[in-house]
Amino acid sequence: MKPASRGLRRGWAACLLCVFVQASLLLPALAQEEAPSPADSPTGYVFRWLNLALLLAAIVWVVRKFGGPFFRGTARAIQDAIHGAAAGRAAAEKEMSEVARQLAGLDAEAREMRRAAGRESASEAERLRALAKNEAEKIARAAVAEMEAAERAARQQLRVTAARAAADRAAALVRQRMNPAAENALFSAFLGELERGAQ
Amino acid sequence: MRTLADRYAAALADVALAENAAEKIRGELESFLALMREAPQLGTLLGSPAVPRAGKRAVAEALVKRLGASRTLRNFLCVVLDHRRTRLLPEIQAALDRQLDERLGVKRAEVTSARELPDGDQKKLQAVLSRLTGKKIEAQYKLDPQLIAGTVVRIGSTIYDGSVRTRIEKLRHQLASQ
Repeated sequence: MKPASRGLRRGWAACLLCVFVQASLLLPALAQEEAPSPADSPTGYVFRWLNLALLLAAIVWVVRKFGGPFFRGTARAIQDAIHGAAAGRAAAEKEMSEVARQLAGLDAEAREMRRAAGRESASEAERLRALAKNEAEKIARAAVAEMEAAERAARQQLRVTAARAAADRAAALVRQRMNPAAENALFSAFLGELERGAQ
Repeated sequence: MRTLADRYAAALADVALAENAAEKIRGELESFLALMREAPQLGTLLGSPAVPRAGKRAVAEALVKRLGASRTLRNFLCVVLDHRRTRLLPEIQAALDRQLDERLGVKRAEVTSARELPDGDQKKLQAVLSRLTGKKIEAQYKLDPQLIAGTVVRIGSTIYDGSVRTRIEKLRHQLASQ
C-alpha cells in the first residue's frame, strides 16, 4: 500500500474521533435546553471558546500529522512522473537526433550503394564478356571439329562410292569378257587351290 | 548332348544299317514327312491325344502301304506314335541324315556355280573334295548367275569360295578402306 493512501485513511480516522468527542460534549448541553442554558452564562462562553480552541487544535494537529505526508507523497509522485517524462523526452530527443544523423548519412550511403552497384555491374559485365568469349571459342572449336569430321566422312563416302563404281565396272568387264576358256581356267585354278588345301 | 530326336534317329540308323537299307529307309522317311507337309491335318491327327492309339496306328499303316515303304519304317512310326513323339519327326529325319552320313563316311556338299558344270568337272571336283575331307562326297549342284563366274562349295559350315563375285567384293573393300 502507498504511504499517501495510508495517511489519508489515518486522517479520516482522526476526523471521526473529533466528531465523537464533540458529540459527547454537546449532547448533555442539548439535553438541558428546556432549562435556561448555562452556555449563555459567561462561564459558558469561556467553555465555548475553549471548545472551539480544542477543535481547531485537533484539526490543525490532524492536518499537520497526516496531511503533510499525504501531500508530500502526492508531490513526490508528481515529481517522479515529471522526471519520468523528462527522461522519456530525453530518450526521444536522443533517438530523434540519431535518426537525423542517419538521415544526414543517407545520401552518402546511397552514393556508396550506387558506387558498389556500379562496381558489381562492371564486374558482372566483364564476367559475361569472358563467358561469351569462352562459349564462342568452344563453338568455333566444335565447328572446326565438325567440319573436319564431315570432311573425313565425305572422303570416306567418296572412297566407298569410287570403290563401288570400280567393282561394278570390273564385274561388268568380267561378264563381258567371260568365255568357256576363261571359265575352265577359273575352275582349274579353283581345283588347284582345293588340291593345295588337301595336301 | 544327345537330344531325344538323336536317340530315335540312332535307333533307326542302327536298324537301317543292320538291314543294309540306309538309303532306302532315309528315302521312305523323307517321303512320309513330305506327305505330312502336304497334308498338315495328317500331322494334327497323328499328334492329337484325342485320337486313340489304335486309330493312329491304322492311319500310319495305311500311309506306309500307300508309299510302299518297308516294315522297318512302319514299326518305327508305330513306336513314335505310341510315345507321342510325332512332332519330333522332322528333327528325327535331320538327325538320321547326319548319323547315317557320319556312319557311312559321307559328306554332303553344296556346289554353286555361275554356269552348269560338265560331268567331267563334277567328277574332278568330287574327287578333290573327297581327298580334302577324307570322306565320300555327295554333292548337290545349283546355279547362281550372281556369282559372275567361278564356283562356291559349302560342306557343313565350311565354305570354299572360288567365285569372281567374292574376289571383286574383296577388291571393293580394299579400295574403300584405303
